Amino acid sequence: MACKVTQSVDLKEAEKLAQSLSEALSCGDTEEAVQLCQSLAQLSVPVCVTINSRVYPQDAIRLWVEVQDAQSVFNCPVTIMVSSFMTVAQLKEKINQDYGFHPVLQRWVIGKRLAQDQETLYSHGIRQDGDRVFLYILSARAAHLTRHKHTID
Amino acid sequence: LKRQNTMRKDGLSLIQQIREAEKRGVSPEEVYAALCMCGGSNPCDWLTSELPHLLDEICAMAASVQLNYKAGNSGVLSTVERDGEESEDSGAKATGEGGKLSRAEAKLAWLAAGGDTDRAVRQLLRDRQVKMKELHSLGFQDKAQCEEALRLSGGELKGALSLLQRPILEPFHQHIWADQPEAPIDPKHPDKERMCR
Amino acid sequence: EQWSSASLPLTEEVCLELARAIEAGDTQAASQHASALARQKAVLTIQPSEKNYADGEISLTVVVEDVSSSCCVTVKVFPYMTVAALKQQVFLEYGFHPRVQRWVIGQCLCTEPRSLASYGVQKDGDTAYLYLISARQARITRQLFQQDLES
Repeated sequence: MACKVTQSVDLKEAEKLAQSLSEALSCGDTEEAVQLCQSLAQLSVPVCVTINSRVYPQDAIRLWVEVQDAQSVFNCPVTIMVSSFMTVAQLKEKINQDYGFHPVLQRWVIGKRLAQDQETLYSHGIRQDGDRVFLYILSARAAHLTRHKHTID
Repeated sequence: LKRQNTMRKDGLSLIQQIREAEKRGVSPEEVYAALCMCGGSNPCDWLTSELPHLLDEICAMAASVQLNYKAGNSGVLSTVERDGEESEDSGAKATGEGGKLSRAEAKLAWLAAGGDTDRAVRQLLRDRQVKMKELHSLGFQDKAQCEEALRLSGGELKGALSLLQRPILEPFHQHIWADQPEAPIDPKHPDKERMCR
Repeated sequence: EQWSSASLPLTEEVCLELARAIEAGDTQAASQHASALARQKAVLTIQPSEKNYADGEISLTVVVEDVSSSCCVTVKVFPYMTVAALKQQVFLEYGFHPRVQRWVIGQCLCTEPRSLASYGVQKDGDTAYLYLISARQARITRQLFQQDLES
C-alpha cells in the first residue's frame, strides 16, 4: 500500500497558498483569489478561515451566563468578560480553564440557537453588557465521554 | 432591554427542550435540529417517527446533486463520482435511495447543519468526498470499491479501511493456522468458522 | 471600507463555507466563495488548521510480517491508546487473535499496558511492525479464537 509521504510537503505549500489567498482577498483581487483558492482546494487540507478581529467591536462585554443542567431548576448566573469576536470554541476553553467543565460537556444556547464551535458571539447577537446566555452542562454519560478521553485531556 | 429579555426567553425555552431530551437520551444537537422541522409537535417523538424518512430524502437529494454535477460541469465531485457510477448503476438505482450514501452519514450531516436540509445535503457530499480522498491517498484507487466499502461501513472510514484491507491480509490467516494440528481433526470448528464468514 | 457590522454574520458564514469547501477539495464551491469574499475585500486570516481528522485519530502504517511474508496496511489509531487496545482493535477489524500479535515500534517489543505515544507514535504515516506468530506457538485453538471473537 502506498504510504503517505507527501504530507509535510503539502502542508508547507498549503501555508504559502493560504497566506497569498488571504492577501488576494483583502486586496479584492478576485481573479487571483479564485486561482489560489483552486490550488488550495486541490490539496484539500483542513483550513481555518477567520475574519480579522479588528473588524469587530473591540469593547469587552460583561456577559450574564445562566448555568443549567438536567437537574437544576434554579437560576445560577455568573458573569464573565468576553469580546464579541470570540468563537464559541474559545468560550468553551475559557470556561474549561476557569471552572473546569470539559468543552465536550458544554452546550451554549444564545437566543433561539444552539451555538456551534466556529461561530463568533457577535454572529449570535452578543453586543453589550448584560446580554444573557445559557450554558447547559451535559452529564458525562450523555456526552459519551469515555473515561479514557477525560484523563487524556 | 427588550432585546435582552427576548434573548433570555428564547434561550430558556430551548434549554427546557434540551433538558427534557437529555432525560430521554436524546442529544442537544438532535433536539435542536428536530425543532426546525417538527413544527410544534414534540421534537423527541418527531425524531423517532419522521427522521428516518427525512434522512432517506437527504440521501436521495445528495444522489441527484451528484448526477447533476456529472451531467453539467467539471467540478472535482464529478470526477470522483464518474468511475463509481458505472459498476454500481444497477444496484444503486434499484434500491431507489441513491444507494451509495447511508442514513448514518446523512444523520451526521443533518446534525452538523443544525437541521437545515439543504446544508445537510452539501455537508453530506463534502464529508463523503473527504473520506474518498483519504482512502485514495492511502492507495485505494478503485473508486467503485471505495464507495462500496464506505456504504457497507455506514460511512465510517475505519470500517471501510478494514473491509478494503482484509483481502490483503488473508494469506496471513492461512499461515497462522497452517501448522495447527487440531484444526483438521476436529470437524465442528472449521464449519462453524465458515458460517461466520 | 465596504464592511458594515450588519453584514458580519453573513461574511462569517461564507468563511465557514469556504473552509469546508477547501477541506473537501470542492474547487468549484471554493472559487465561488472566494470571489464573493474578494468583492467585499474581506480582511481575513487563512491558515492550515491544526485539527487532526476525527479528533486526534491518525493513520499508522503497519508492516505486517510472519515467518514467510510481509505486507503494508494502514490502521487508524489514537496515539493515546494502549497496545492492549490496539491488539483488540486489530482482532476486531482483521481477525488476528491478540495472542498471535507482537508489536514492534522503533526498537521496542511493545508491552500491553503502555500507550502508543509512549513508543513515539504521534502522527500520520508513523510506522509500526506487527509480527504474527503461529497459532500453535501462541497456544490458541480455533475454539478459543471463536470464543474470544464472540465475546
